[in-house]
Amino acid sequence: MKQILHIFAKDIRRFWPETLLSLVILAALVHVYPQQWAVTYSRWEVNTNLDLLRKFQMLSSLLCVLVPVGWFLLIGRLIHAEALVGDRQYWLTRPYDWKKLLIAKLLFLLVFLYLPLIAAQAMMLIYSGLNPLSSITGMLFNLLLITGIVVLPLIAIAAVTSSFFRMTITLLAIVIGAAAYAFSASGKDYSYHTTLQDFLLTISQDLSPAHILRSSSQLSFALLLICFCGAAIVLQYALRRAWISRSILLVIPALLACIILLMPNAARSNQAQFDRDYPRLSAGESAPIQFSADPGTHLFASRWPINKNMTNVFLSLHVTDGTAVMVDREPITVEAPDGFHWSGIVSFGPGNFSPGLTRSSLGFDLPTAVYTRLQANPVTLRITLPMTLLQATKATRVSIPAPGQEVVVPDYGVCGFEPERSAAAPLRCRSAFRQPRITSATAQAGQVPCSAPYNELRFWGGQAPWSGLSDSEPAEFSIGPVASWEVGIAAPLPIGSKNGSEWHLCTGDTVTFTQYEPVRRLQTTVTIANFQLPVPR
Amino acid sequence: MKAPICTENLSKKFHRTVAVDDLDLAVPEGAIYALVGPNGAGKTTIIKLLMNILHPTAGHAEVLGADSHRLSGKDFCRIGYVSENQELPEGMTVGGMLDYFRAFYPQWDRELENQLVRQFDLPLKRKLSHLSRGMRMKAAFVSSLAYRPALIVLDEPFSGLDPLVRNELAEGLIERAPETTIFLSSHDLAEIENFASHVGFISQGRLLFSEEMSTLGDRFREVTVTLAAPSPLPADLPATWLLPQSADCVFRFVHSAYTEENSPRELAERFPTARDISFDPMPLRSIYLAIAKSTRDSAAHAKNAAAQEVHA
Repeated sequence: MKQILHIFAKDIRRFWPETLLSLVILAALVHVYPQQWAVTYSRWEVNTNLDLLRKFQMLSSLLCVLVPVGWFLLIGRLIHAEALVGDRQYWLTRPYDWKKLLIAKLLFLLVFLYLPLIAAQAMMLIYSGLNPLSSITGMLFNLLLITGIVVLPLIAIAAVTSSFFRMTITLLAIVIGAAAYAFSASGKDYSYHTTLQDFLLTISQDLSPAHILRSSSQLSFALLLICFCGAAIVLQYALRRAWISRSILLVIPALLACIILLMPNAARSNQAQFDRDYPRLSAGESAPIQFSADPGTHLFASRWPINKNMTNVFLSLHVTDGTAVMVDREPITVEAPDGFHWSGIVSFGPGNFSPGLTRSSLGFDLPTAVYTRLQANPVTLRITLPMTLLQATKATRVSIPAPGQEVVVPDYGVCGFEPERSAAAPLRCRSAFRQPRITSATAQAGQVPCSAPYNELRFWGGQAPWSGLSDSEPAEFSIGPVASWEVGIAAPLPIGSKNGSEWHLCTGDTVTFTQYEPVRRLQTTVTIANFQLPVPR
Repeated sequence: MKAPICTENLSKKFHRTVAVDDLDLAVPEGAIYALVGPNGAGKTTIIKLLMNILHPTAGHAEVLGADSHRLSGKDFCRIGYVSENQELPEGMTVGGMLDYFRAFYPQWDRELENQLVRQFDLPLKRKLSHLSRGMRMKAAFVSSLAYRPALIVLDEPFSGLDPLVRNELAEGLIERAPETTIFLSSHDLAEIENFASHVGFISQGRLLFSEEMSTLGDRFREVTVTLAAPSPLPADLPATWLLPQSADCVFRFVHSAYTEENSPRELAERFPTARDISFDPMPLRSIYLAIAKSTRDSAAHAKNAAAQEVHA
């Protein structure tokens, strides 16, 4: 114990600038992060406040990136103070016990990384109007994810490199390699972004760890990293044989690739895997959702890059009562009578189908050359929908709060009603560490305008009312402890209501939050014959 | 009692390069053992194998009775190690480093530390990163001697230092010699000659000889034979006659197995017409150079012979 504390005290004396820097970044995050929720809207200040909100969001995002950068500096310097690679370090021939050295380093990180982080997250939750004591499971789970995804990999890289420079180069190579892999594996089309700023914003969101991890199991990923990085660190401290530890770390990308290939993913699987992940309906079983083509289709104008046209297809559909459907990525095939066919992915999909939804649309980008080839004659569209069926489990009713006020929705979050900011997503909600389970927000709209017009949501039809995540993990990987989202309120119009009628939701009206559980996966195919590709608009 | 350092068939390869080849070595207790050899001979590798900084490819070594491969923290309480290339905790001051190391050693002698600091005139408040090379070596010496280690291992401790610092360090070492065993590698043969009790010569990873300085000095002589008339280099010279040279009437070589009883007689019989035969004692530096050149010439000769054989 004496040796542990002696090394610990030496590290405090030696690395106080790095520690201070890390703590200052965290303190700045604590100061800035909750300001996002303090911004409220009024009729006259909505644009000003949107600008302010964006500034706080950008600053918070920047600080959330800087926090791990500060840790990187701290961990790199801390581990390299007694570097484990090389043959010239003074400590190799001093009476160091490797177990005590390792414990001293972990103690340092516990005191100057974990405890400040826990305190900072608790403060951010309190300042955001959320109770940290009711989010302890989420906090511990988030710490587990941060340990597995950030802290242990940084320690492991520091342990198998001889200097901070080499560690930086190694980490840059890993980040660039992972980003390149995520970019290529996503199969996403980024070509429609008209400005570099748009493109960078989208790609930075798509490549953020939270976004990548959301599509896979965060826990299994974190546990895998904890096991392998932990083994590499312990072996490196015990044996100082860098090639063994490096070999262990090199196994991680291979295992990750295997895990990703084995996980259900409609976008990437081959047909056999796809059929396993999303079984077809058995004979005689009726689909929980029925589709047919709606006559109204149109083609948007050619977009940048100009060799693509987007076709928007409207669908009539019927969803069985009590069931909702979450649609994953849809493959589409366009077949010409002469046998020519083109396959692709739906680029604009319906997302989720709510009970009672009768009309939706999807869009796909058709290369101009293919469009020209197919446009003359009717074609057959074959759209495969891999879907997850959702079963309603729980409904909570709350009154819409007045603007500037918030309402607590049990098992959902804290929500404010901001119709002036966005009619499409007037509810601005937040909760601790993760979004809630998949939830839809519905209300009964009336035809009478509200007494105070700024308390009113006016609309002409249903909106996207879905929010939440399908998994049940208690936290999402994040440095900031608050998950926030904006969501619409679906208000099914009474049967017989005229197109173009204006409907109103007012402060005090009731919104029902219905929580859903995933029940099963399946696939269904919609075939639309004699489909005439529309003329560009 | 077992030798503080002993190795058996110790070998180390870096890929295909043999750095240490089948080394058998025993350093007696209380000795000041100097390991000498040309650059790249394997001296530093041997020391790193002994200190468990590198792992042997084959064979094994024992240091203070412990398998070098298993030397752990507590073993280093009894070993002082200083190397010319050793990194120090650069962010610390000299005093800070001594304070830090002091807690690791239960037997740390504060008085000895103060005495050494005064002796070496060390600036305690100055950062190690701001010290000259000589001062850094002195600081490393103090931090490795103050706990009175049973074994002091030094890798090229005098390399690149000015004569005054060398002298100070050597004096510091000599003062510790009665209570410890010192194992050092060095190119500075003149310094070693003054205080080493044993010497080992290593070349291309192989130990050519290992013996006490006194016997080494006794058995090496520079022999000059003055003949009556010019004569070519005699054929079939003994292997113990190194670097034979012949010019006019003078024949010179280094005798590596000289004995006072036999050698004068042996040479008188071999050169009956010699007008004079002189045997001059050699300093360690000359012995080292003679062995190094002889080894190099033998290797070149063997290589040429092998090449000719292949050609034939």
